[in-house]
Amino acid sequence: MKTITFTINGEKETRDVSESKTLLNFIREDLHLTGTKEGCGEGECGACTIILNGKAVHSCMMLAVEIDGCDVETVEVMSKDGNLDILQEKFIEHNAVQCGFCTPGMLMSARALLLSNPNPTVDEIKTALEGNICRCTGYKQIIEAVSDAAKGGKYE
Amino acid sequence: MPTLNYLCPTTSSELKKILKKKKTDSFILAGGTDLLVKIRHNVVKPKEIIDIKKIKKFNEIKLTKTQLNIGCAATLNEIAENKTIKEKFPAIADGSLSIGSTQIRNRGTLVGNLCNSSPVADTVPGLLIYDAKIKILSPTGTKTVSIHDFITGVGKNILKKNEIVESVILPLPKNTKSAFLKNARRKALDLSSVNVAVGLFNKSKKNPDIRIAVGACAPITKRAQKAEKFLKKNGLTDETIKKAAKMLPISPISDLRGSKEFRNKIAHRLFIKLATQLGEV
Amino acid sequence: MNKKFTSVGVKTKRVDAKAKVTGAAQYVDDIQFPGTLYAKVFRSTEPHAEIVSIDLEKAKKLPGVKAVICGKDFPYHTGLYHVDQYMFAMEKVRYVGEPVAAVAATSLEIAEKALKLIKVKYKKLKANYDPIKGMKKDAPLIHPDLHKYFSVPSINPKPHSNIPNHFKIRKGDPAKAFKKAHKIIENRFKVPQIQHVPLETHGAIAKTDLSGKITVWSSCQSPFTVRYLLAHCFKKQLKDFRIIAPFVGGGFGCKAGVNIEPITVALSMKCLGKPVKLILTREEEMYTIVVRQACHIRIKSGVDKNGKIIAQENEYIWDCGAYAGYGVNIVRAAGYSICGAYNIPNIKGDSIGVYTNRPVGSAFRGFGMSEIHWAIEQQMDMIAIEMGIDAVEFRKLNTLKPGSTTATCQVVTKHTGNMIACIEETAKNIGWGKKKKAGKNNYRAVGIALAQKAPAMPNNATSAAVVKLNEFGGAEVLFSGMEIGQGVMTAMGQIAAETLGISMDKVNVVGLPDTDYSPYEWQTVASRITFSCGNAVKNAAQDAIDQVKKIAAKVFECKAKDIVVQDGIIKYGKKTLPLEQVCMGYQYEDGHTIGGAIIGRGHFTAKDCINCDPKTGYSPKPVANWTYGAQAVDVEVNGETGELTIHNVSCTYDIGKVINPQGADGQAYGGIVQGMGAGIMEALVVDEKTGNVMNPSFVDYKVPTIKDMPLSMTSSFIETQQLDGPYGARGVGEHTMIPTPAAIANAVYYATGVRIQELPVTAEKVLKGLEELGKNK
Repeated sequence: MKTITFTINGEKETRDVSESKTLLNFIREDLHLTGTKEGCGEGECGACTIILNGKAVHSCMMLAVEIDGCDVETVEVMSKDGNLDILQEKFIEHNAVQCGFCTPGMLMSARALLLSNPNPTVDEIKTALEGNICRCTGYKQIIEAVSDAAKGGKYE
Repeated sequence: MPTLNYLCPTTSSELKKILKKKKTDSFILAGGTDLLVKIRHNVVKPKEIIDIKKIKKFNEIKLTKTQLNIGCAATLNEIAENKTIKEKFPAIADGSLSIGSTQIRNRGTLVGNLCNSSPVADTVPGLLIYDAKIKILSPTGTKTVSIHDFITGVGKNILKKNEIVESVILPLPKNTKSAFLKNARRKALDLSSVNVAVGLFNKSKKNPDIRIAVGACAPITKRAQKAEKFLKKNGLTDETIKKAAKMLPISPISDLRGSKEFRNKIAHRLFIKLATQLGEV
Repeated sequence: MNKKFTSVGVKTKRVDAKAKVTGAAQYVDDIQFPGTLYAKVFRSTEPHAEIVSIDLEKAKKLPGVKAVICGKDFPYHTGLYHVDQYMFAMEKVRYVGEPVAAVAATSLEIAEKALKLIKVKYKKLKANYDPIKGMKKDAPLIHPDLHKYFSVPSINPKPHSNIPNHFKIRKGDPAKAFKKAHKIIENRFKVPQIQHVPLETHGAIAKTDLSGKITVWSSCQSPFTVRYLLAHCFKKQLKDFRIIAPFVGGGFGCKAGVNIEPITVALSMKCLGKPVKLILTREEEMYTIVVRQACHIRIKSGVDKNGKIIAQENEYIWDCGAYAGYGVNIVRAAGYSICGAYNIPNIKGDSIGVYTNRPVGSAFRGFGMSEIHWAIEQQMDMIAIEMGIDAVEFRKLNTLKPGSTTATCQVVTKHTGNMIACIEETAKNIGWGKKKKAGKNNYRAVGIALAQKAPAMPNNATSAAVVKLNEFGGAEVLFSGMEIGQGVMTAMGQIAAETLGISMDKVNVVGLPDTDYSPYEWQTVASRITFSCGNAVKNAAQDAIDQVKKIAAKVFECKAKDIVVQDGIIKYGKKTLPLEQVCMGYQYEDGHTIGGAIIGRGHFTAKDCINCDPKTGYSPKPVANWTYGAQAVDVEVNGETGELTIHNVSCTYDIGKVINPQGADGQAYGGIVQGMGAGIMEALVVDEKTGNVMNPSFVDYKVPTIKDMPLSMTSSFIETQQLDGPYGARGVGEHTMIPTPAAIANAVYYATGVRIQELPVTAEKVLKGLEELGKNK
């Protein structure tokens, strides 16, 4: 066990964690934030995407101990005060959600993009989401939702 | 995963002490994008993991008057987006950008790609054409070797168990342009069936200083010296480029990512395309 | 039907979307019970072998292990249409990955360790991976007991063979018609096994409590079928089982029927009071869960001078894999739909399932139609080209129209659907006949393909629904059509709101079934839920509103039939009453009350469906309805690498009344891209030396990413009312997957002259074709 201190969805936490635990399992099993999903466990599907120090990363490809001193965001951060984030609203409006299993990871990738690039082109959106597999929607509505959410370039 | 010991040194000297005691079941962790997959599939069973990301200078991409240093913890996206690398070493920037997905490039490192020593590594052709130097850190100090001597087989390299690659050094070239192309089964997040880097290191079309490396077509990706020499001697024309394509040192295998015939053809075409493009401008 | 609708046909936000975008939606692995035991499955490493011995003793002794079981502990059979599989392999194993034993332990690590302590000895048998070889008389039998297996009446296994089902169509006199034909064109095609790849792998939790009640939480498409098959398998009562279905992270057919649930239940019976959780890894999902069946196809067509097809032979040889409990019904579906959307008077059709030692074949979006249309729709183009007729005109000439007869001799009417309108709309939208500009060294063209599909279900498959009105004049809508992403919750809510005369926001769609509390649904498959479950919901809502009117009639002192309910207001002439004043009974001013809590009930079973004649396939109505569609694809081929870029896909489907336009578009785009995956990149590869799946992970089994999708997609819908559909609706879940691969292949041919007859259309195959034609750049 190792003690780590990190910020999760805006709140500072100190926890003991097994050195061999992946960040994904830590988030789901220890922090009980089950919005983050496992789709493949080897960085090939993006369902486990979270934001680490402002960047989209796979939580399945990291050890939990690696987040010591880091800032971590999961999908649950987006509606923390009960109101939906503009990305979430646009995903609903554009029907960018079907089975929903890829949705949290997709939202995390989109959020990381808009935080660093508030006015992305369609190609930039595609690059940001290229690691997030969706087997249901055909992606069209996801691109539309992210483009719409970015309108005005004031995402925060 | 069984219990393991996690070490996270914050200085080189601390790391050196750890390396001194490092055993074969101890593994270096930078981005983790290869290591965690290997652990998941029981390819490796670490008892100890040494996380080297917290050593500040390892994260740096540093430009001096004569060279560029890429630290072993610098991520592929940092490299792909770095202004100097995009300008001076486009084949390396594009090779880095072609790996995995945004999430993978936000964690994975160029040095990790190199140390994984896979024949399909997308940064290796670029490193080869720029004659990169590899700075190796051991408990006793550092040494520098040529990229051409580093990889020794599929997944194998010269690193000893208590050594790590601290950085990749790229001598700053003059009058260069380079480019990288990759062929894969789909348009994102895929391993290369073939990857090619070509660089032109002078402005002479008559006696071009051209450098070529084709990946995913042999156990060890190497420079295409015969083709390079031929072009230097015979100049860069559509005809000589086609002839040079037949001299590429490739011996691809057939696997799920393409047959050897297909790989041969694609390697030729990608090379011809890049060489022609570089020759045109 | 000129009535203006307020909910049905109106673009409606998904009712489950908020739960899904916030991470609140729970999938089976998100359910975390204290004291959970973790299960792992010991799987066969042999493709075909006798089990000589199984040694579980060492595994049982490992601390933390709570149960280790194998076939002799639970010697039970499962199977939906054809009961051919043991829960765990008994005498022999028939594919690599087949469950042989299972472990439950206090942690996943211990369970994994225990697996390594299990020892199984095999005696190798000759494996066969080729269904054509498997049909031969001297082929070794993969199921020597085939003649003893139970099958439902519509399935025709051939005893003492490897054939679990053979469906025949014998229509007209094809031999005679072929003699009269102006031209005869014969081609062969191949479809490989592919994986469904739902983003959520299969998972289940089972708990047998101390009273013996068994509760199962499962990622499944059909909770009532799971309950039914579990009760059968374990020889128990239905009341002993309770199945709870949380959100499902994609199904596409692989979560129909029963999958891993029996294993978790068996383990839980040995660990009373403890929840046992089994979540498959992606690798296990890839090689041990059912796949789409492979198919070897031969089509021979005879055409007259005008280009009319007068005779056809269609032969589909299905690779069912090691078991065919579900696959036999695909063989049947391909049989009664044997020539696709075409009007052919003389047909000899054979759809034959064959056991092999590959992974188990089963349902996949399209249920046989995606597979056979790969061949049918290329064959149509090949005939058109041979005859010098435009592909669109050829299809218009030969497709089913009112008055045509299908392969089973069912007569098409104007209510069946309007294929001509689908073809014309699609051709218009894609710009059929206009030249598309290709990049340097590239080729570009448009291809078209049609699709037809019916829901393949037993004729007595039934749906039920309950609508409970509440104190605020809203309603709880209960049904068990499973929300697997297709938007059933929203569509059912819309149908209920429309029928009740209330707004969508007053409807509480209770969409996640619990077999102890929810009304019955057969299965969520076959694009049947909007149609069948939708009817049940409509009937339940109507029943509720009839009760409302009966009470209101007393209040208004009028006849119930003169009352209308709109926007939550009960109206009789100028008299009005808010709905909420009646939902729980109406209270007069003096306090006395009439009526009470209102619960509406409804059910639906398609009428007059008749099994096909086993000798000829004849049936005047083999299925509940048909959906027609046309799809065109604009493809650019890279002349240097063979790589494809899909510029545009345009599709038109006749789905009757569109319940939720946004949802229908979503199904269309999703199906197109899934079809594109099957079309250009997906194939499960089995090593014929070892029986191992060579690409059991996303590293080498590729599905389309956001960068692979078509650059543009448009969908349109023709609304020929389904006379017995809810508000005239038919389903749309599967259809756009069906013609996509053939449309791509046809486009590649028009662009380059390269004809690819074996899926998928990879860059490598296209480049090879270009070289053979000397057209590579």
